Amino acid sequence: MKNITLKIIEQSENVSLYSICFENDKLSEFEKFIEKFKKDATINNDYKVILTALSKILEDGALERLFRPEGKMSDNVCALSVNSKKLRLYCLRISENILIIGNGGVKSTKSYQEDEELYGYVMDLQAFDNLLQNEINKNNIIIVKNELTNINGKTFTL
Amino acid sequence: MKHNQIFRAELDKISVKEKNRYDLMYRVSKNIDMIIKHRGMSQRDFARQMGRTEQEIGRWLGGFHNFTLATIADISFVLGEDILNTHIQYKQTSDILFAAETMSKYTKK
Repeated sequence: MKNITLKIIEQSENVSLYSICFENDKLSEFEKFIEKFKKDATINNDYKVILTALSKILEDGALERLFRPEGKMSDNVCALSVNSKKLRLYCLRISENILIIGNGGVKSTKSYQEDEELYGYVMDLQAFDNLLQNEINKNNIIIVKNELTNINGKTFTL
Repeated sequence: MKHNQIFRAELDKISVKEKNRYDLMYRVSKNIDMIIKHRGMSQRDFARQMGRTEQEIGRWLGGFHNFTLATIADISFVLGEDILNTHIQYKQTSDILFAAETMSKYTKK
């Protein structure tokens, strides 16, 4: 059992970037991604492009064309599609105005399922997506433009 | 408006030269997307006209593709517009570059 909260990372006039944060962790999954790769020279360009893509998303929205689907047809899991041959950052694209960022890593296998670490990140996002969709369907959480309401202090149990 | 210190600190480390490169890549993909939408074309139509796969077009529109000059010329031909010149920001940048080049020519003399 893992307890998760949602942390707001960045918010512009039209777009909010959230990240998931595991109980007792100081950093969100996205912040952990940054800490993990900021000094890795081998994937430096990929890393910079991913950060730039997030800054563009804050300006123009989480446009569908910027992402590639990575999970199942029924979920919102995707990766930033930035022509990165190595580095992946997994996300939940809730709408053009709301993006939940997870963790990521260097993809050295043909599919993420073959990599235990990447598979774990995708599985966590899939499970969280399922919980979030249930809460949205029950109107416990409401999407208002670029915000998810009632998430302050709310804990999700995976 | 909310900002994350860790994210902003990393964005600040990207040099102006790199930012300029990524901006151009992003603008080109945005221009292509804008033109094909304006024409009412689907990605499939565009792929067929370009003689490329939809997967390739998806990569082009992904925001940060490093296009070759040949591909830029082919896309501009198929869309009937110069995909480098459809964005006002690009025109401003090229004006600055043109001014810088002109100045350096005069300086050399």
